[in-house]
Amino acid sequence: MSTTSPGARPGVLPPGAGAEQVNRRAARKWAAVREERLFLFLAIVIGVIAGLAVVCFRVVIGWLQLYLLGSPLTPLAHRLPLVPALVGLVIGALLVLVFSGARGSGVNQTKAALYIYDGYIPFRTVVGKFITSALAIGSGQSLGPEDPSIQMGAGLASLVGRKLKLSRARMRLLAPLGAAAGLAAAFNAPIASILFVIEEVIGQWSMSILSAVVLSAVAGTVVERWFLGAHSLFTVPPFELRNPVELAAYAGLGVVGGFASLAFVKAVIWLRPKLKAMPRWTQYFQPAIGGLLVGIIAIWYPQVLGAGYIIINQALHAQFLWTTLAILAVMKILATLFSFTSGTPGGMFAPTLVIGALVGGAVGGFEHLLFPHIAAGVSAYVMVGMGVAFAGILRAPMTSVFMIIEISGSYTVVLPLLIANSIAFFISRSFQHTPIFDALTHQDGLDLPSMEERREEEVLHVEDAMQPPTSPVLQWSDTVASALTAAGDNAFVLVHGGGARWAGIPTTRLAALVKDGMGQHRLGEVLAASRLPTLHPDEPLEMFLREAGDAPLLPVVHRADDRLLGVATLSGVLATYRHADTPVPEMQPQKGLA
Amino acid sequence: MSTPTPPTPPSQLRQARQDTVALAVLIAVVLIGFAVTAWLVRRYDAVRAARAWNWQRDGAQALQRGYPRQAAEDYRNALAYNSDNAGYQFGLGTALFQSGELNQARHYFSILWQQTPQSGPVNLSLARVEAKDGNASAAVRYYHNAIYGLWQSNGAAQREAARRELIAFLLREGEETQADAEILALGATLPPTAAARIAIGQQLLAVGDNHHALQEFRAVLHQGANNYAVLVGAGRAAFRLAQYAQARTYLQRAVRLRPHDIVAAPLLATTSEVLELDPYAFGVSRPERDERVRRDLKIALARLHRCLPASPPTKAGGKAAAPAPAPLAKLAATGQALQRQMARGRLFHGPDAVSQTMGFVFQVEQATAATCGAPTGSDLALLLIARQRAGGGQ
Repeated sequence: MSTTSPGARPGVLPPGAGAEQVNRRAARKWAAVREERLFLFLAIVIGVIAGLAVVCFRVVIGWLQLYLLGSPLTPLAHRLPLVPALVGLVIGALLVLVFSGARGSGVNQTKAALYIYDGYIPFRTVVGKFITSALAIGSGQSLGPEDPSIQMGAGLASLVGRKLKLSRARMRLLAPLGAAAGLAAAFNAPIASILFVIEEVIGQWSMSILSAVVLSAVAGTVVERWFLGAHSLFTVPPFELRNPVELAAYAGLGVVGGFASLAFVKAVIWLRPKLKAMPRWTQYFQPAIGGLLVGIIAIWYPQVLGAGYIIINQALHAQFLWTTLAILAVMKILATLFSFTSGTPGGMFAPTLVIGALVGGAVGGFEHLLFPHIAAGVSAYVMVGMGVAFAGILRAPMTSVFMIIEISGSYTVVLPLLIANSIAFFISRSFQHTPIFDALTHQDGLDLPSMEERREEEVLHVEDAMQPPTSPVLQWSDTVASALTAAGDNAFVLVHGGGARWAGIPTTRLAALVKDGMGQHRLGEVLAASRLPTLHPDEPLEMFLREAGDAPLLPVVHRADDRLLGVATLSGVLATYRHADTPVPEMQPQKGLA
Repeated sequence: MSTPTPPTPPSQLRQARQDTVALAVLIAVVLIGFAVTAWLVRRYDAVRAARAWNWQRDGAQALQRGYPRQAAEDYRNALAYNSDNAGYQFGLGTALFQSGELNQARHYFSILWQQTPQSGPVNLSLARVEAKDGNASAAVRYYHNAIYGLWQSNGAAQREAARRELIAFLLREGEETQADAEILALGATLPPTAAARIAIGQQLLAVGDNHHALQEFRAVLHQGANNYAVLVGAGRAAFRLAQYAQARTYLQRAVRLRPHDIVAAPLLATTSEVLELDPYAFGVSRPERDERVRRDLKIALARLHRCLPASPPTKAGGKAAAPAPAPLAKLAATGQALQRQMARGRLFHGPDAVSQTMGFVFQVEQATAATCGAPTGSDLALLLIARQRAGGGQ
């Protein structure tokens, strides 16, 4: 912004203007240093605050469950259809009248805050999320506390940032910190939480934010463990891969889990817009109807109620027959479908894990029945099933693996987990191109970056734009006159100075040199001070734009012996970017060009 | 000359002050948040602990009343509110075990075992699960862990009970050698009271360790006890060890204590018969020995005669009702020859006459025992003498 005084000539600073500019620069630097120092400290504070909020959130959910559904694991029958339905009415009213921003799971809302609203999440949304999600989960809706914890953590981080008047750039970075801390505190799994935030919210690894995310997640986890204990969510029986052939059985689980995940995702994507398109007044009743349906299912299958961690523990300890587990898996899918699509606030993480555990247990039990000598006990399948559903429904493959390792405390599960997760992810991706969170975003009319699409984006390399040299490659020893003759119609020729040294010269300059009587000079003498950067075929294509400068082309050489493989030209690079989706015919390898 | 530091602009000072205040407020908020959360969690934990305790109380009562399934349900509810409580986990495992849910019980006990592998109760429970599930080697391992494990109270009695349970299990499994070793180990740990020694002696008798059993009973008798059970036990052990003279002494004392008892008297009768029929007994004179051989031969021939088919094959080649087994027929022929020698008074001609005759007697008793069933009375006594001569007891 210009600060010249009125009447001053452009380009000439008035007296004192230089000092003012220096002061402004110093002020900017001071502000940057201030934010830098604050940021890491804030990462810890935000982690602690998010952790405290999540602990309170979990305690309130537990309390509500105790008083709304009763003390036994199997709730009293007369409360079942009524409690989730009546509480659903309250939730519906709160969502329509007071906390409209509290709808949904919380993951997309956090992403929206990050990418659209510069990290801004109103405090009212945080409060609304806390109250409505706690009521929903506490009354038995088939939803989990993790996704709301992400949004609450991000919202609290946003509040802190606003109070400290941080810059917009820093505000955008604060929300993921809160999200990581919230998820870490909700799951007691810091590594998986960090991975999830990086994999699904931020979308890229960056050392500048990674350390802050780690600090925040660790702080959140420490707070959670301080108050709720260091024990993991599940008590996992010892697991052992008895026979490598058993991996085939886990592959079977990957297939079944993949299709079960697909069915759930398709059903959510199909039903949700239909319910959203209904008249506004129906939104008062949608959570209640969702709750009623869940309550009716729970009369016969009370295990579908709430987040469902208890049923995972029971499945881990082989308390159900495989047929029971299969029925429960179907019922849990239905209950979660009703709860989630009705717009009731609450997360999908926990129901996803439960669905996976039930499917895993059912498949494991069935396979054990068929091949008792191959398939081990059900517990391992329950664990792997959780990862399978996480990979198939939420499509966060890295997080799914680390989460199961973290919550099971068993590294031996990694092999079956990798195999089954990959298969489920492949099936889900093959039949449902858009991941569920992205699909929900589109349904909400938002355009947020898809992390999976980002990951899958084709990275163009130099070799994609590489072409054979159209002009002859000259040597250091060639004369200027002979070079001009050899250049013919080409505007630019490459000159090899031996080894890794390359130079280039426009034909117009060659002609000018000849005209000046330097035709018999060696090219080496003329280009002694000149050097052309070289590229390697595996380098990103953008390297051309960074390196080329004024040169119209750059040589592409072999990494091992600097042999010329081809050239990259500006027009070729731009054409490659333009036609990135169109397959380019591969260039035949050129030998002995240099 | 150094350049003087430029003064900090007022806006930066203001910002720094605002930051300080904001951070102080933030820290205050965190501290208040900690206090509120701590209060909330404490209240919540108290409510959960109370619910858990109520459920476990119901579970324990259900278990006592003999409703293990109900107890398992109650313990599950208790664990939902206090999942780390080892006592509740143990209760659930016990309820599941009593319900016959062995796999689930094993799961819970295994979790506890991982936490406290040296726990006596946990190892004993796992031993019971494995024993019921037919995994004998695992059961024995856990029983041993329980015996050498830690018990919170009354350890000696608990270990003794665990070993007794192991002995009973081994006896059920037919592992008498292992059971014998455990009984001897049990005897070594017990106080040297008469009752304890009698129990050990009887267990040793049950597994066939007659030598050690006799030692235990003798030790009790040396303590001055004139107990019927001890005397019968000692008599039986001596009898099985073929120490018939001692056996008769003990059994006679036992019968004197209980003249109409049906255990000691038959054993005493058999023992007396053995001692009266044995021609090789110490201190028997030659005429007496010959007399005993003659008597033994008569008894054996009578047994052979009873054991042969009703109409034995005749010399004229008449048809028998049922052919006699080849060994018996051969023995019958030899018996007739010996009978003739005895009638002519030539039974004891020759240096090996006694041995040959008694060898025949023993062959008859063994063959008839194999063909016609267990002998009684004098035949049993002869069979016992035969076994004693062959080198075995009983």
